[in-house]
Parts: sequence; structure tokens; C-alpha cells
Amino acid sequence: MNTATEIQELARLAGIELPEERAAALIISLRTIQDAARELASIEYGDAEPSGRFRVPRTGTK
Amino acid sequence: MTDPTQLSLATAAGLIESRELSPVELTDASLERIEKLDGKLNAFITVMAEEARREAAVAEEEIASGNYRGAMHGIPVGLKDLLAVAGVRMTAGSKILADHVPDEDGEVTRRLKGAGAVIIGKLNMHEFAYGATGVNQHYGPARNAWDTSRITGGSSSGSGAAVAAGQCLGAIGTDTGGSIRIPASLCGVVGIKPTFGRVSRRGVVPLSWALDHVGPLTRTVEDGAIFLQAIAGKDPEDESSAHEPVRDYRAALDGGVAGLRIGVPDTYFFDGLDAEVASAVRKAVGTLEGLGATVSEVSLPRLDELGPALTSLMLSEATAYHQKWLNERPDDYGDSVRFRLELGATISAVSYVQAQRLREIMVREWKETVFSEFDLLAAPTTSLAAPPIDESELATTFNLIRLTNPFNFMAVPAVSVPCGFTEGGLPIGLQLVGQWFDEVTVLRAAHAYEQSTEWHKRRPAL
Repeated sequence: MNTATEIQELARLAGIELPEERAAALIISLRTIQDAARELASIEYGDAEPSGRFRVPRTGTK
Repeated sequence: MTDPTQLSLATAAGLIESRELSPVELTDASLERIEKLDGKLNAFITVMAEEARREAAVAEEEIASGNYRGAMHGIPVGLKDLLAVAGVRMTAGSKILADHVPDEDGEVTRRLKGAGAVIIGKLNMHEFAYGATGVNQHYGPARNAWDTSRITGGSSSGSGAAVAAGQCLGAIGTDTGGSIRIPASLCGVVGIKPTFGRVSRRGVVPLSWALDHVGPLTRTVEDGAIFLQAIAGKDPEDESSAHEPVRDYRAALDGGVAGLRIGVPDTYFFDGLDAEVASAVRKAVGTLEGLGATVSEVSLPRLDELGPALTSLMLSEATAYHQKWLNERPDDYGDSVRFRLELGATISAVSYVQAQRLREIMVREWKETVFSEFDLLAAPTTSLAAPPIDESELATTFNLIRLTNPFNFMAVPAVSVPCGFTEGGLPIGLQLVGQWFDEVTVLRAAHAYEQSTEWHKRRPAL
């Protein structure tokens, strides 16, 4: 992976249209992102849930 | 009377209350100082001279008629230009929002107005707060009052510059990876990043919802305590703001540090430090010990896992917020901000969620292992003093945020307080970090340290 075309496709999945030259400029830095993903994937999370949780809106019950 | 712009906020407040200093006189003096120095410092994007004079006159009238509202009444303050003030342009340091005028005050603005503060202008910043240098392609860099060829640090760059230069007596900044504490450290002032949720973010342009904090920059810790008091507390319209009761920060300042247990991290925070920064911070820790604190080394769990998690959270949230503009107006971003936003599009949803799970684990572990043994942590705020403006923005940002962003992830309160100067005359900051919602202990220790030194009394020669 890590050709400009593949990065364009990845960005498209995130809803961002990247011109080819912009995608090419990301190739080196993408390795940092991939390293971060690998490090996060290697952690044992147990039963931990994400810290950011959906909050149910208050209904104003009395 | 001496130049009122050189007074601390606390002193000015006392003089205003006793009617020895008029808010109009103080505001005029601040506006004159902005006029005199801002060509050199570029701290302000918008100066609100007319509104400020009007607010100052109202404050004066209220105080004269016996309606003194408290220590912020009649005090000129600046707001980072991503906080909404109704009817006043809010650029977020960007070209994209160059003509944006909010029609409502943000919650911090509302509270400051309610406290009678005089909003004197909107301060320069890193574009969309997405960088730590304060070098801004659209509005020019804010310049460090101690050496105008150097950065202020950012992203609250104008806030640091304006407070250091006495253009206002306090300023609001925001801090996603260190953006209050970094300019405080590099500009020789005090910066407070409160606990996540302590201060409302409603009406603030976000960078990362998981990591954004709002807080004050001031000349002294007491000033910071007064300022924080005015803006802290639950905002029913901001779900991220906390219900925790707000203590009396100023009243708690004089408790000293005797008996406090201070942990000094054994790794990471002292790796790769500039020698003068390391020496100043070590001396500061020694001073705290001399004042009666118990100091010992602490191992902070999982610091090596923090970087990937922070990257995943911040980059993906920033890109999500900017998605529409990134597609429609990509050329209106500065180079480095656009680069980071585009990079954020490559982060997977799985990494984002794992980062949030890691946050949950680390908060639990730090609570059980770190804050069961220690009341505070002490570390450098930045690994180096203010670099020159022309150094690489991306590399400088990485160096500057390394020691501050762990505490955004952990959501704990952290303060930067001046602890020395390099031989070249550049300020150095000590970072004190406390437990969740224990701003009182952090401020108390910072105040005790500050009052036992002379660093906060130095002023840049402008």
C-alpha cells in the first residue's frame, strides 16, 4: 500500500477528495499513521469501553 | 500612579474596587499600549477599542453607584480569536472564517461580560488552533515580547504575547495539546489548562472535541485564579462541561506546599531537554522541596502508548470538523494545517475507538497508581525556550507539544508558571499537574513557588 492512488481511495472513504499530488505528499507521513495503528492494535484492552460516550438528552422529567 | 498596564490583575482589581483606579483609565492605557506595541508584536487580529471604551464606562458607572461585581469588574481582557463575541468578527486565525461574525456570545464570553470584564480585542492564534508555533500565514506570526524574532508558542500565540507585553491584564486561550501552557512558558506568563469539562466550550471553534480545553493566561497565579473563577462551572448547554462544584480558587492560594507529595517523572519528560531548561526545572523542583513538599520520582504508566492515541484522536476529529471546507475550499488553508487535515483522513475508525479505550484504561491506572501516591506532578512545560520564527513549523510543533499533550489526553488540570530564563533572556516554564478537578492544589503549589521567586516580576524591554 501507500501509493498516491491508494491514499486517495482511503481519503475518499473518509469523505475527502484529494488531488493526486496532495495524496503523494502524504506517503511518508502515512507510515507514522500506520505505525500508530499497529501500536494501538497491539494493546490489550480487556473490557474497556471508549471514553467518549453518547449522552442521552435530558427529558426534563420532574 | 504607575502605568496601570503594568499592574497585576489582582492589584488593579483592588484599586478599582477602592475607586483609586478607573476602568476607563485602565482600558485607555491598555488600548494605548496595543497601539504602541502591536505593530511589533502582532498579538491582536481585531482590536475592539470602541466597544471596550463603552464597556469600561459602564463598569465605571456601576462601580461608582455601588454595584461592584467582583475582581474582574472593569478589567481589560483579550480573547483568542476562536471565542464567539456577538457582533464581532471571529476568524479562528483562518482565511475561511475571515468574515464570520457570530450572532451570539459563547459561554466564556457571556460569563466574562457578566463579571464586568472589558473585552478589549480578539487575539492572534495558530490557524484553527492546529499548530503550536503561532506562525500564521494569513495574519502573520505573533511575536515574542522577549525577542521579537522568536515565536510566542501557540496556538494561543496572541494571548501569550499580549499578556507578556501588558496589552491586557489577562487573556483566554484554548489548549488541545498544550496551546495555553506552551505560549505561557515561552512568553514568561502563567497559563492554566483546567480539568476537561471545568470550563464550557460552547461558542469556541473546536479542534478536537476529545481534547479541547479553555483557560486563562495571566501574569501571576493569583490573577489566573481570579480569571478561572469567573469562567469555571457547569454550562447546561454544553454536555461536555462538568457538574463538579467550583471551589474558591483565590482563597485557597495561601495553603503552601508543606506536606504535598510531588512526583517528578523518571522518564520521558526529562529526555532530550535543552540543558538550561533542565537545570531551571530541576532547581524549581528543589525550591518546592525547600518549601516543604515531599518530592520523589514517579513512573507514569503507558506514556509510550500515548503518542499513537493522541495522533488518532486529534487528527481524525480535526479532519471530521473540517471535512466540508477541506473539500470546498482546500486552497484557503495554510500549508501545514491543510497537510495535517489531509493526513487525518487516513486514520481508521478502529484506531480512533482504540485510542478512546486506551484513554479509559489510562485514566483508571493513573488514578490507582499515580494519584494514589502523589498530589501533584512536576515537569518542564516545553523542552526548549522560544525558537526563531523561521524554523520548520511541523518539526517545531512536534517538539513543543511533547511534554504538554499527555495531560490533554489524561484530562487533568495543569499550570505553567515561569521558573527561569535562559542566558539569552528567554523564559522557561515549570509545569505542575494535579488530579481531576483539583485545580486548587495545582494553583496553591504554583502560587507558593511563584511567591518564593522573582521570575514573574521581570518584564520584557519593549
